[in-house]
Amino acid sequence: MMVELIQQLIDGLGLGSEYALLALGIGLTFGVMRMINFAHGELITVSAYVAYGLTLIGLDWWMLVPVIVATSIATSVALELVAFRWVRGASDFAMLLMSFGVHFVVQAGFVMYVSASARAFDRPGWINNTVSVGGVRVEVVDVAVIVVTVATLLGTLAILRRTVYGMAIRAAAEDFDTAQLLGVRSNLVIRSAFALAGLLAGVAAVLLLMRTGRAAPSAGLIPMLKGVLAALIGGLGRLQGAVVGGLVLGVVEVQLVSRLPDEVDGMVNGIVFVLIALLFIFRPAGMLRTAAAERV
Amino acid sequence: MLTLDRVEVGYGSVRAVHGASMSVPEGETVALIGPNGAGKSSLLNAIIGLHAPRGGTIRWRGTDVTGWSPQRMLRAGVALVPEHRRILTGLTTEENLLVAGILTGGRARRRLAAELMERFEVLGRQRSVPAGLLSGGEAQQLAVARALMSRPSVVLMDEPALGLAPLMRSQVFELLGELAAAGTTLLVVEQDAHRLLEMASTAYIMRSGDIVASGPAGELAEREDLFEAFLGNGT
Repeated sequence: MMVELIQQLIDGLGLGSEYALLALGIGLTFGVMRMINFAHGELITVSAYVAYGLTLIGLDWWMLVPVIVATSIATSVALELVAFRWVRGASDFAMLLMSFGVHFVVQAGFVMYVSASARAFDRPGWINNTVSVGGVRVEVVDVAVIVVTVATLLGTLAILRRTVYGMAIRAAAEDFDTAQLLGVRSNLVIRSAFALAGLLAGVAAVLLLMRTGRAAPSAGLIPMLKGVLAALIGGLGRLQGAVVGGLVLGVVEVQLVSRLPDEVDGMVNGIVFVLIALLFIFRPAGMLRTAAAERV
Repeated sequence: MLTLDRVEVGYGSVRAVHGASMSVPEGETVALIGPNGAGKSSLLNAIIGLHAPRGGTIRWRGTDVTGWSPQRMLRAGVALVPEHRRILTGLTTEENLLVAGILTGGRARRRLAAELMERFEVLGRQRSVPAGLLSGGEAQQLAVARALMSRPSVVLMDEPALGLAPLMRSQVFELLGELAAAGTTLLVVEQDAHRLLEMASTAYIMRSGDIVASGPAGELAEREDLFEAFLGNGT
């Protein structure tokens, strides 16, 4: 029983790590633009198709990793330049429409010009390997996901805390006008946030594609929704909250999958949404209640 | 010299400033006083570039800087200590200073922040403390120190003593005196008019978006009629 629980916890943290990476990216862009980016999943979709294309010419997985991350960063910055810069400072509704619009346009582009059906590609050979630690069988991929996520999150934290550009992103997330007054350039800070969000989504894409090995027009949809939910659970704009929200969502989801009867297994996502709706009834600001001084 | 020529500021259908003209000579302290809603903060925000003026011209050292962004104004040597201090509460004291030095190179930025934390001892002692935990007086010192991170030639100050206890207010005026003595040009908006007029060389009185009186601060300080007519008793 205990062994099973530990295994589920590791599975949950592995899944939650991916959500945390996406939630942190969504939190970063929300911080500087006050826009929930529903097109964040498109970074995964575009990266997946690039990965698929490169596997066709025989590129090895280890070579794919930097390409996927670079693609995600470039796509994130490009979407800001092409689409989101035009709605800076616009109403919440305009920003929402723009992010949904980008989501649908990218998705439709792949359906029209590539294929509506998924394209599978080879996953790394070690993906299904397991190791036994004290009677607990752990998938190597779960360990890799947790280690990579922790390293990525610590790196992101170091950028946000130790570099003046990271401090500028945090400053702009708290009070954009004051940041500008201190000399922070809005273009620089918003693009830096999108680049950092792209980096995090790129790492998430690598971890996700290693598991699924498929590119589809809707590949980023569910990860994006989970990322948004995780960011909401932690309290939008609270970056540590986004990480905690991702981990909590992953653990809860794995628990639900393992405990629900098989016949309602497909309702996991629905139940997760209901639980989150209940959370917001009782804690509208998200799970973490922090003082203003502790934000970001 | 910072000069304003018939500067107009508005928000939507509201006209906050109707053609204000004034001069701030270098090395002097100029007071801008008036009741709440007179348009003083709007004028400072227009100078620093937070709100583009609807009309008129702002010149700094002979260059037309009307509508320049806050970043350009900072580079040109003009900084603002905003109303209510607007401290970034999620950043530490030191981080507030470092962000304010973003236009300066890395090493120079850290050196300047260290110098300011030495000069403002209370900030140095609380360098790693989230700035949201600073007291009102400490936060005001941080707001001033932040403005100094760009090594400005002129500092615009919007109600630097607002909301502070009497002792803290005195400390803020002492700080203004030190800055002025060091040769920094100051344009100060403050409701404590008597106190400000004691240290200013020139003063402008604003009411309902217009500059209604101006002259040597010492002379205006003697004009009780002006205080009663435009500022009300007790200012």
